[in-house]
Amino acid sequence: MLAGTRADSLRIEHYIMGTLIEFSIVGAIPGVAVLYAAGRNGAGTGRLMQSGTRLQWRAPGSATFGLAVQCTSDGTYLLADGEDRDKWIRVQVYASYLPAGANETLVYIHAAYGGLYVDITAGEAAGSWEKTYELDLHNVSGIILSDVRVWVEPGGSVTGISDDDVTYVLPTSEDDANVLIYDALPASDTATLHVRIAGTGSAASPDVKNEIHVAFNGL
Amino acid sequence: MAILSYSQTRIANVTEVAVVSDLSGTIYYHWYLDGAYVGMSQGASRAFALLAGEQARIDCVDSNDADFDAIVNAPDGWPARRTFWWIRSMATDVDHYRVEIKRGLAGGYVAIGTVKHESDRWAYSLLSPRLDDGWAYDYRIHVIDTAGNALSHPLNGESIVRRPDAPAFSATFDDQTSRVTFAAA
Repeated sequence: MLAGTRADSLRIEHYIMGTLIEFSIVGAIPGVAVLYAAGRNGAGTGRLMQSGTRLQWRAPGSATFGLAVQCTSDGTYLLADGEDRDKWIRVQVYASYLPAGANETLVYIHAAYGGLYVDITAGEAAGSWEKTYELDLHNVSGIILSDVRVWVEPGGSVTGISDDDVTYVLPTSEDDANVLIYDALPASDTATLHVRIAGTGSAASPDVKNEIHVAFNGL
Repeated sequence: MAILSYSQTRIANVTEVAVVSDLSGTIYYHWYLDGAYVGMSQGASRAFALLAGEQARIDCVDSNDADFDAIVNAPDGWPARRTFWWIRSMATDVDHYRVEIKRGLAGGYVAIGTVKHESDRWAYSLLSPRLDDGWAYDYRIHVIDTAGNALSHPLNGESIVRRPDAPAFSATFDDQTSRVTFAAA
């Protein structure tokens, strides 16, 4: 399956940094470069399997490889896990470098911190320090995405999200009554997501992540 | 599963760390250098290279499970080192790669190592030195061709925060009881 379709249709981007990178990824098979791993994979060790020009992905904690994807020509492809199709990776394939026979490798997915948000001191946190970031929800597919829902991971540093920078909400699940909903997002279109982080009196912690969850309906 | 003891033997810049596990049968030892995963062995020892005056923390997690996830089960704490891992350049005249890091906003880039290009090798890796807590780092990898021309590839920078700021607190001394009482400020 080509990248930019189905589960890879919606990307969270920053106007300077581009697509937000949640993970550092180490490991690949010759001819394959792992470009991105869906947040749903979580940090851990996955497996990438290759047989000729067919590639398969098994997410950390999963026991089942996903459907094999034929990668006969150079390009980007989407490989999904066998148990949960929302645990996918986007890979760049250089077909002429794929080795003969069958190969399997471990892919280490490490959580990446500090890429976008600056650290704050205990003094700033105690002084009600607050900062708002603008992110883009970008539909990179060729289809309309509808019922785009956004919520945040509970226990993180995010204190509110908004679609208009006026009214902020803090939904912590997809079923939350305050879940942020965007109307239909046409192909190649973007919508703005405002994310607010505030120091609430506790010290900054390197283990705290600002995790943004999204769900949407598409073809 | 538990590591019962650690021991170390140093010869010049190479320190060999040996562990004793309470497991039996086929044991897989997963090694971490300053919190960064560096590999697995079925032997109970591993050699590490340390520069003169350098200190490092070694952690080892043992398991009988061949599918043990060394990332999920990594020791607590944010690693003090980074593993630079990159796919080869597709150019046909590559000679070597040079990895550089810059500490802070005012500092310049410093090379931490070079790796010779091999035509039949797909990926390369290099472990960084110990990074200083509380500093922002930038990284880049140079691809140098046989004529000495360099093409730079910047990587995502980051701030190293391994020990978060301590909570604000107050301390009061009672000379009647000789007690010091700590309280949130």
